[in-house]
Amino acid sequence: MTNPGRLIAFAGLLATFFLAGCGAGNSGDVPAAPPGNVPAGPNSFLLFPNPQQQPDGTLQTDSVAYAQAYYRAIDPNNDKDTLAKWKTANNFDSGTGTQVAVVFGDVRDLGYGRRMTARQNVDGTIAIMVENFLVRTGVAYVYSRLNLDAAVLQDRRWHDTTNAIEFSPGPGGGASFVKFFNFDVATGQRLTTVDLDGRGQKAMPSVCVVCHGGRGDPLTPPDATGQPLFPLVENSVSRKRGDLQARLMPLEVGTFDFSAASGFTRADQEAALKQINRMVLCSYPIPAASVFAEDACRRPATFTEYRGTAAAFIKSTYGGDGLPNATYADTLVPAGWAGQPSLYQSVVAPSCRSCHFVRGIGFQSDIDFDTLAKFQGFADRIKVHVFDRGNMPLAKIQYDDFWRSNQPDTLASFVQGLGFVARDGAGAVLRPGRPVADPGPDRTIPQGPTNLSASGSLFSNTFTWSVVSGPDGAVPPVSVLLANGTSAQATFNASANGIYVVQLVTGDGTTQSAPVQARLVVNNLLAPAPTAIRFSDIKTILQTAGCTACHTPGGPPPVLFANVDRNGDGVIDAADDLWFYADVRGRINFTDLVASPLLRKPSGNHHAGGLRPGFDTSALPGQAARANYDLFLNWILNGAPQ
Amino acid sequence: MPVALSLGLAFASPMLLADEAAALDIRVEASVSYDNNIARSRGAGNVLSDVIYNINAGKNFVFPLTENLRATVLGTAGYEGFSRYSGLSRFFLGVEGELQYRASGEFAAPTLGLFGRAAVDFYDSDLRDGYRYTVGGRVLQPLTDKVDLFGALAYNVRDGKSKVFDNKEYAARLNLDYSLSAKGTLYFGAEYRRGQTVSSARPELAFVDVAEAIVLDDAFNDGRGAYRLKAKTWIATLGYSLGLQEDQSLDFSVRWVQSTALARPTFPGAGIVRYYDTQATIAYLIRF
Repeated sequence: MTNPGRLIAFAGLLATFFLAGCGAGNSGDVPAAPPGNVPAGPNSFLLFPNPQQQPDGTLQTDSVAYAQAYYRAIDPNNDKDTLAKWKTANNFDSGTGTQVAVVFGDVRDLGYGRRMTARQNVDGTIAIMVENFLVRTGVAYVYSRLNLDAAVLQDRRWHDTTNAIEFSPGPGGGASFVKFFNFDVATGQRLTTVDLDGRGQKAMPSVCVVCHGGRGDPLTPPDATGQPLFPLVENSVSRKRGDLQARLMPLEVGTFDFSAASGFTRADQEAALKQINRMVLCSYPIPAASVFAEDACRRPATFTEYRGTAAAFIKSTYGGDGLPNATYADTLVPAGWAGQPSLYQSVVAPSCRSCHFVRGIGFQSDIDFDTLAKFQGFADRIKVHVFDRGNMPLAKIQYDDFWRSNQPDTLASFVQGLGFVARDGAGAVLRPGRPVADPGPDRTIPQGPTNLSASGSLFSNTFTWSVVSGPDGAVPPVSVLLANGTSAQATFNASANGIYVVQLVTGDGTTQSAPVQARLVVNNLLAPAPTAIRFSDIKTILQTAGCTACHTPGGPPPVLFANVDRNGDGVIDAADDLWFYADVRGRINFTDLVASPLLRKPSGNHHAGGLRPGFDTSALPGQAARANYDLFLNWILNGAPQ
Repeated sequence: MPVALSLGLAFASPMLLADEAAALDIRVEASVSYDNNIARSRGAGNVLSDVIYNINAGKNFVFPLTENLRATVLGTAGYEGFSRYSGLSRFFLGVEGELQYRASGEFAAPTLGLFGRAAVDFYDSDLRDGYRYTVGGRVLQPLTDKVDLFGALAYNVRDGKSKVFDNKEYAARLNLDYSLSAKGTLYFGAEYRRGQTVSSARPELAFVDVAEAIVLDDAFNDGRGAYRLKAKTWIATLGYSLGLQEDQSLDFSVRWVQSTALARPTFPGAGIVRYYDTQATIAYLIRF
């Protein structure tokens, strides 16, 4: 790699060294600090944006129980619970099939020196084992050339993790899908967690799947054995629990660092790297017939399936159809980005693409960012994830690189141009880690006490509520009492109908957030009362607002809203309703309520079914056009009780 | 330089502990050195050379205690300047106390000493700033009227701002002075050290593997780290001291250093981590 990336990597290495000598009592040592100009605070890396937060605050997709359910699903007989068994099951070193190995530095994503051994069996299954080397010389987690050296030299002292990915049928056969493993370096035992970024253990497979294009649906309620099952993605071809619709990732060779040692240079390994990318290509379903040899191994895609955006990428990097070029070269600007290629190349390609181009399904593929229009369609969420929450870019190293570059400025200009605030009053780019107030969404409530929660606020520990306006025109309105106005949970008590505007300002002890307002439409005739809404009300709407035209067995969506035998006991009964409730609850993002698919999809955001009746968020709360949205919202705000 | 000079006045003469307080007992030394490995490193790109200027002054105080026993206190101050790598330049202050014993005025009677030394360093860079302490014992044994043998055992502690520069080591030293003429002395020294030392190098897995602690070395601007290693170090010195006139001399010396890390890198086929260093010095000394 002879580009600025190397300088960044070298700077990262220095950061490692900078911190490595720090010790108590040595005042001259450099204190631990974010490298460069990286915002402090955000720490939600490698987690699903909707991590399935439970009532007790735990994140289900980041729990050992989630991992255990996963391995019960994909390996019920523990045939692959050690590295040795996994390798045997995948025919490693058997002399059959195709097996190649490469060693490179993962500069951009996880920072490891990686020894990757990939093989494709004669039956088309694929298995990739990666030994990750990380020279831990300090608290900083960065890529360093030392990691690559350790991988090249096989310095086992720094052998940090062994990850494995397999593209094969699930138990009982059928269509192949991607499975994820992490094995203990010392014992070879399969592990349920892994630390991929120096920020603590996170649960398998979520920590991998989150960038491999897969879903983070909730576990089922306990089955007859008393254990929850891993979710079934209803539109998957395999129809296997554990098929998260995740994908193998292309090797983005241009982002790697290579050794100068003989046998390990890029030139030495270019053919093997291409071979691995060909294997990855084979794992993508193909939406239309192809005459090209590299596509012969691809399974035809169903009409609901992933469109293979990353397949187009792989082809482009080797010269297009037929893969005529021996050397990888990433010059791709998708046709849909022709109008703004610089934004694609300067921001999307380095910081968004690697996770997004393995997402999306045939019916709704906006999230693959394959066109400018798709990207623009997510501007509201880009603003939130990048500039407010700081959970994208998803991997810490990539996040740090993003914030050390001029990408934030470019992206902020783009977002601002679409009407979203990404700069402060002085024009500076907003940075995650600052207090962000969230008084909750606009909504309709009855007269009487209503809880106002600031729990959606970010990086805040002080709260100041106020009522800005009310129906009587007085400031503050006389028809409302606000209690606990300086706590995270205030009580709003209106005695007259009308539209009230509440405002929240939060702080972190040093800085104050911008004020954020929410409209509360008080209607004493509101029915049902927010606290009385139950899942049965939600289910009724789901099954009467046209949702079940698609969300039904055989339909394109991954989640069903029709009454079906969800637990497979042969009958449709109350137990299935409980499973239905779990599925629907999983469509709620309790860490970012308005981002819940249960609200966004029917209100027309990236939804193949478009805007559903009663979900028009352009209408005022309380209006009939958004009555269903209001009901869903109040159910969610009340904790989505069953 | 010869032991007698290098020790200032403390062991200046093999005769019975005489009262030498009549003079001012101030010694000033100015020297210039060439060091071909000031980073104490190895390999292309890591090894750096520099010219080093040093000026220091010492004042000795002698306190006779008995016929055979005396105490000395030596205070020193100086500045050592590096031409290119100024981060290694330092101002230093030190004080040394010693209890000396000589059983008789017999020519062959050895002089024994127990000493302790403390010094403070103020580097142009920060991480090396700190204190140095030494305790030890030594003996000066005249062998003939032309040959003196000197031996010392010492324990050195360095307390730097960075823990990389928190070092402890044992040292054993032997020195032979041979008077070629009334004004010329040839000397040879050998020293063995075992303990923690610091090597500065660009990021290299072998160093990382054997290092006890690492920090970005702020004395250099090429991104190298300073690695604290446990090592065994051999030092050989050959020098010639030429007296100019009373209380003045010129000293020429060459010093060879070989230091080898006690630990080995952990990757297959790794060799030992070792560096070499050579220093050549010309010093002018004057005593008031």
